[in-house]
Amino acid sequence: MAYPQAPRPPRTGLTVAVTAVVTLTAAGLLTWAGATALASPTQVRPAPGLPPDPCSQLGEDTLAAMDGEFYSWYSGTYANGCTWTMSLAGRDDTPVYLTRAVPMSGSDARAAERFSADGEIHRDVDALFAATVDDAGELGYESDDASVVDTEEKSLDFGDESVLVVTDIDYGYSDSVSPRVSLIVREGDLVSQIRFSPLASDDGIDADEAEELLAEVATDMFG
Amino acid sequence: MYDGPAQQFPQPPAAPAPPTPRRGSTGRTVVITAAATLAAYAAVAGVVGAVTLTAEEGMAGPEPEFAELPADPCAAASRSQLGAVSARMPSASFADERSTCSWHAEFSDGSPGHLSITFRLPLDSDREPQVDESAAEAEFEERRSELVDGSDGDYWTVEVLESRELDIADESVVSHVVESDEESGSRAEVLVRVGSVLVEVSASEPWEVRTGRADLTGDEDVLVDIAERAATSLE
Repeated sequence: MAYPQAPRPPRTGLTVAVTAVVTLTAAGLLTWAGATALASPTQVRPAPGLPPDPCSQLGEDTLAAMDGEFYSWYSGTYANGCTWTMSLAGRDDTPVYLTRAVPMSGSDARAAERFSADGEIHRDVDALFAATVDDAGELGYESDDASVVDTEEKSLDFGDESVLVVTDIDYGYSDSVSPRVSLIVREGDLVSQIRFSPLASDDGIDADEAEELLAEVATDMFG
Repeated sequence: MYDGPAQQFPQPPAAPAPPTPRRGSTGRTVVITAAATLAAYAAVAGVVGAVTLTAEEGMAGPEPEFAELPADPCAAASRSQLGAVSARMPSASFADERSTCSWHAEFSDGSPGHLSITFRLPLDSDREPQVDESAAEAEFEERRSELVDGSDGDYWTVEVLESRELDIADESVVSHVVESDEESGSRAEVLVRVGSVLVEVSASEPWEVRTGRADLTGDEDVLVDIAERAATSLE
């Protein structure tokens, strides 16, 4: 039986596909605009890859075992950190600093360049890790009296890569040097650093001793 | 009259209904597709957004020990106040005796710098924070003296360019100074006492690129506005 031929069906599949793409694009753009507007300067929002709550990085059991107490913390877009005091290397109330950072990107990196004397902003994690290791071996400020006497580095097995840096500093007011211990760990795009200064001694300490001192805290944080 | 069973005549097979005319169906397809796509997008974006918001709560950390200090100092300034100095990348920091928020900013003379708001309590002789209005008065006076008269230490000098009293909260002052060790940096600060708490709102040059020549007078109104808002938030 012959029936009147229907008009040629439209390309429904194509219409659906085009509509879906256009709708998704529009919705995505609107969401991006909304999210950008919500990135308010009245609110700290960590960059992707930077975990919030730096003070929770150290477990309560470890903190208790080392007579640790929370001291201070900070939270920014590309870096955050926490400071505790704990019994370490035979000394009570030794400040232990944790800082964590991810590379800067986009317009924030361009803005931050104006705040740095050498305009050096770390946009990739390898540069950030290398600079953090370098900084650990330096005094960190201009001084006529204080100077770095010696620096020892030792690679450890934490994270994707990690380096322990023992920096011996002569502050110029006594015969002994003051060691400063920094452990820098990279996990993906995140560069973390734990730092503390054991008591000054005539012999100083070497990297093996420093590793032992930091073992409990480092294993808790990165093990 | 026939009242038997309904007569069953053979019926020709029903002709398939000719396709309905397509005029208007493309529009319907577009509407339905757009609605379905939006619904799916909203569902996915909602879940992702909720997870992201939960996972990236930036201010997660120990609560301030003293209720006198705000848990979110970055919210002490309004968005429009922060916009006036192009403030971005807020960073909050906390210790027992203080809550601070600082931003990268650009001031009215075009120079880069930091805007910061600090709420703090005076320390006692054991360096423990104390909630004590008379201690805060003494602390205010010490800081006021530096901001109005300047100071001249061996390693650190404060030269006052101009200063004046304000009428915010219990007592307040605004000052423009140049601070120097071996180098100099420009700074403008509004200092306010609200009961037992000191509020400091400052604009300063970045430490690494300080010149001592930045002109921050054009930003004074914004600093004063922020200080007023911050003080009100404590009252």
